Amino acid sequence: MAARLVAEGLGLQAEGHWLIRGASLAVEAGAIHAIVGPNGAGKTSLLRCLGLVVPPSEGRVLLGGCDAIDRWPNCLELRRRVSFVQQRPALFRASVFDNVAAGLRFRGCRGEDLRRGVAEALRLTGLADYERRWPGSLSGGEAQKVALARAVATRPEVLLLDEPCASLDPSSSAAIEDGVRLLAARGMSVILVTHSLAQAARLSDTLHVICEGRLVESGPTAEVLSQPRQTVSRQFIDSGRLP
Amino acid sequence: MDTIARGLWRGLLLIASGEPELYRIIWLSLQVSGSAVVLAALAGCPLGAALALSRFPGRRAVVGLLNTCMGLPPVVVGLTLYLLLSRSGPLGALGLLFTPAAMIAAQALLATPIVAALCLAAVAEVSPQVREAALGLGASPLQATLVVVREARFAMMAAVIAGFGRVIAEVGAVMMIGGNIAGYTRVMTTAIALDTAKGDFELAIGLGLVLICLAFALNAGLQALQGTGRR
Repeated sequence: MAARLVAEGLGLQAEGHWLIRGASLAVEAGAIHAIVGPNGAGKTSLLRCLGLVVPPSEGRVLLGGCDAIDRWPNCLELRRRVSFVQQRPALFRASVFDNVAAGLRFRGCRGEDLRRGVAEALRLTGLADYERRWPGSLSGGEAQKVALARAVATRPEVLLLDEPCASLDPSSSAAIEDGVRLLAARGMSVILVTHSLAQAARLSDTLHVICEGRLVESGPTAEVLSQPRQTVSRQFIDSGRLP
Repeated sequence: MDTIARGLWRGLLLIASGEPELYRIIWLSLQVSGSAVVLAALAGCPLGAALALSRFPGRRAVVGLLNTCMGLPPVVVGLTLYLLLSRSGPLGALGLLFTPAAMIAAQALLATPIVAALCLAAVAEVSPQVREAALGLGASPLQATLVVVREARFAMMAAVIAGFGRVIAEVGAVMMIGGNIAGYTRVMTTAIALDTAKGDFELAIGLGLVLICLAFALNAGLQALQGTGRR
């Protein structure tokens, strides 16, 4: 199967320092990829490049075979095939409905289609009664779910999640994980950054280990977790295991 | 003390009696300051937002100039406009001196830097994460910029109210440019100044009370906006 999203030799430089370098991966339709690594390894930077939120300093990002970096900054159509959920949900100062509707409105969606799209995303994330709430009245976990709902509402081909369960209780995390599985079953590709090896094991088909800005190991999740080939990934995975 | 109490009582009676001159002065004040602040908002909001969102050589100097202009002395604005609009001045042919239009121009000049500088601060305070969130949801660069400005909307409205508060209480520039002509360019502040000089405290206190009520109303409006913004 042809990969839906391909990254080739991605590098991102900031203030003379490489945040990521030489990162390559390929994600098929319906696949769930997890990226793990220590703090400051470059997980979020990689996700920002994949989401075309920032232009990489080197390398290519291909969506459905089309190179987005070649077209930068005129890659809006490609960018709209991807949705990026940040680790800290930067919700807009507006109702939950308007937050979830934002991505659809950017695409010109109005009226009944808009209402239907928002309602479906809210139902999927268990927020059906939250339409009129404002961000200030939400808990951290609820805000995270709204951020997920507004990304899902746009029905992206690729969903990028930066620690989606970081501020959620176990039952909410389980609900999010169920939601991610459902979306993947519907054909959405998901790339999630997580600190939890257990979550990566539960959710993902493919695992990438990133250290000091480089993807040091990639492969089927069970294989990477049980038999890491690289010393740095073995050290990281061993440190994350419960005794 | 007796004078103050008597003046206060008579001022209240004047307000309650619906004295036409008093309400004409209040209405003109609201018209002049309201128009001025609309002009200031039209110029200041986009200017402040643009300065907050753009980076160009000399930006710091422009921001510094704007901040300096926040404390522009009204009498200097009045003097400058007087020289421009007086019969022998370059804009004398317009015949605007001692008209409400000239007063609006003076107050707009005073309010614009305030509105612009406060809007700049409001937009600059919006977290960069908000723009990134919008881009991550498929916003075009223009849409993402509008999201950022929209995030600052409550603070920007507060900036406009602060601008109105500044000009409605201003006396120096409107006195010089308007001339304090009864029934034509006399506004609350100039009327208070004149009546106080004449020792006629009733109207002065009545207008002073209205000004204080306006200040309370503006403050309440600001607090309500700030409360809405924190939701």
